[in-house]
Amino acid sequence: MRKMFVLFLVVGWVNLGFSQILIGVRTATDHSPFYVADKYGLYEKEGLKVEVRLVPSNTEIVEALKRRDFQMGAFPIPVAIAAISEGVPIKIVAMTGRGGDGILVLKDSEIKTVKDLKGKRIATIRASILDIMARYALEKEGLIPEGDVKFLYFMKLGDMIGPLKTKQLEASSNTEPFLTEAELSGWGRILVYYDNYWKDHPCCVVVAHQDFINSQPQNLKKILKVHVKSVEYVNTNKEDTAKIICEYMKGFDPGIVLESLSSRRMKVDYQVAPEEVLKMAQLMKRYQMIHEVPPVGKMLDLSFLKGLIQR
Amino acid sequence: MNRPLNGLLVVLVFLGVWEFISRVKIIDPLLLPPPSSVFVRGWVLFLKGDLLSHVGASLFRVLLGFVLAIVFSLPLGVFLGLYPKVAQFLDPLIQLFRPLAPPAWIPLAILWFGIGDKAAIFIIFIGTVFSMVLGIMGATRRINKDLVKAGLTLGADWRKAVFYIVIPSIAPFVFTQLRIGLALSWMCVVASEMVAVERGIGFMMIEARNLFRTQDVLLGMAIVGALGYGIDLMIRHIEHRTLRWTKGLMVHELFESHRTL
Repeated sequence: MRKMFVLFLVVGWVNLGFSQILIGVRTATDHSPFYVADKYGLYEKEGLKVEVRLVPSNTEIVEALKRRDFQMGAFPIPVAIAAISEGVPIKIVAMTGRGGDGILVLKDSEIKTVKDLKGKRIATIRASILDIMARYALEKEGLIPEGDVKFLYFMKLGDMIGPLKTKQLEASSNTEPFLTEAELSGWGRILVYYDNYWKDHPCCVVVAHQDFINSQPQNLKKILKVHVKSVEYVNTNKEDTAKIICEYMKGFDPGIVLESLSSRRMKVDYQVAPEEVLKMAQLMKRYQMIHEVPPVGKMLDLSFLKGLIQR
Repeated sequence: MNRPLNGLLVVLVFLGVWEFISRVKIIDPLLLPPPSSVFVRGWVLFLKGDLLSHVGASLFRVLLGFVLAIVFSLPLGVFLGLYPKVAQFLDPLIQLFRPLAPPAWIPLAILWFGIGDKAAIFIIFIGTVFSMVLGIMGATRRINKDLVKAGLTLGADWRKAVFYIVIPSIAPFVFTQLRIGLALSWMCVVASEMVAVERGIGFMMIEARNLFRTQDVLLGMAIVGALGYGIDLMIRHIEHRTLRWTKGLMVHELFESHRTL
C-alpha cells in the first residue's frame, strides 16, 4: 500500500513537471490573445495544462526560456532575433501583434513632421522595436539616426513620460496604449505611427523553445490553434477584449485600451512572413544590434501554423 | 608565498574551475560562458575604444557620487554622534530613506536633476550616503569621553577637541565606512546608468542584457569588481599611511602572533 502511495506521488510529480506548459507574456495590448485564452480556459478545452505567466520584462522571458523554465513566450520580434543570434535555441512560430508604435510629442510641440526632429532629443529603449522603427522612420525621411538626432535610452516606457512632459526631451518613441493615453489625456500628440513607413510592421511574436518543438509538437499545434482562435476573438470582440486587458494590465482605463485596439492604431494577428522577419534582422544588423543576420530557418518554424491555416 | 600572490592564486583557481565547468558543459555555456570568451570580448571592445569610454564614464560618476557622499556624511555623522538628541529627531527620516533601493529613486532623480549625469550621480550619492552617516554617527558615539575631557583639561577648546581628538579617534572607523561606501557606490552604478546616459559600465551591461550578450554582462561585472577592488586597495593604502599610529595597538596583531605568546 505504501509502495503504491509512493508510486502515485512520483507519477503525479512527474506528470505535473512535464505536462504543465508555461508561456511567458508581458503586459501589452498585443499580448491580449493570451489573456483571452487564459481567461476563457481555451487551453483546458484543448486538454492542455497551460499557465500564462505575466513577466515584467522581455529579457526575463528569454532568460526563463534559456533555462527551459518556460516552453513558450511572446515578446517583440527584435528580442527574438537578438536572442536567436546569440544562440538561444528558440524559434518564432507565430505573430501576435503588428504596428501600434510611433512617435509621441507634446501637444503644443513645434514639431509637426518627422523631419522637424532634426537636432532634437528622442527617448527610446535601446535595441527595442521602438529604437529600430524610430531609426527606420528617420532614414526614410532623409535624416541620419546617429547624427541628426540624439537618442536617449531608458529602461521602461513609463520612465520616458516624465522627461517628455517636463521638456527634457522633445519626443518619445513609444507604443500602445501609452500613445493613445497621452493623446486622450490631452497632453500628448502622436506625431506619426511607424505604419506610415512600414505598413503593418511586425511587433510581437510567439516563440517556442526548440526542445518543446521537438518533444511536444502536438501540444505546440494545440497552443497555436488556441492562439489563432484567440486572435480572431480579439479582432471581433474588442470591447470584451479591452475589459480583459484591463484585468491583466491594471491601472489602464478600458476606454483608452479599447481605442488603442482600433485597427488604425494596431493589429492583432497570428500570421508571419519570413520576408518581414528577415527585413527586421537586416535592420538590426545595420543598426549594430546583432553581429550577423541568422538564417531564416534558424529564426522561424512556421510548419505548425501553416498546417492549422490550411486546415 | 606572500599575501597578494595567495589572493591571485585563489582568483586563478576560480577562473580555471569556471573555464572547466563551462567547457565540458557541466553548466550550459549559454547560461555561463567561459571566462576566456569574456576576456576575448573585452579585448575586442578595448580595441574598438568602447570599453575605456564606458569605464571612464562610470568612474567619473562613482567617484563624484562617492565624494559627495563623504562630504555630506562626515560632518553630519560626527555632529549627530556628538548630539544624540538631534540624532533622535533625524533618525526616523534616515531610517525611512535608507532601505530604498537605488532604482526606486530613478523617476524622482529624472524629475529633479534631469536626464543624464546629474541624475546618475544623485542616485549613487543617495544609495551611499545614509549608510555612511549611520556608520560615522555610531563611531563618534562610541568615543571614550575621558579622552575629550583630558583634552579640555589640558587647555583645548571644543573646536580643537573635535578636530584633534574626536576625528582622529573615529578615523579607523571612517576608513572602514569609506570602503563600505565605495562598495555601495559601485552597487548603485547599474541603477544610476538607467537614466538616459549614453555610456558607462552599467549602460553597457543593460544593453548587453537586452541583446542577450552574456559575455558582455559578465565583462561588466568583472570590470566593476576589478575597479572596486582597485580603489579599495588605494583606500587601504591611504589608511595604512594615515593611521600609522595604530600600528602595534590592533588586536589582530595579537591573534596573528599567538603562537609566540
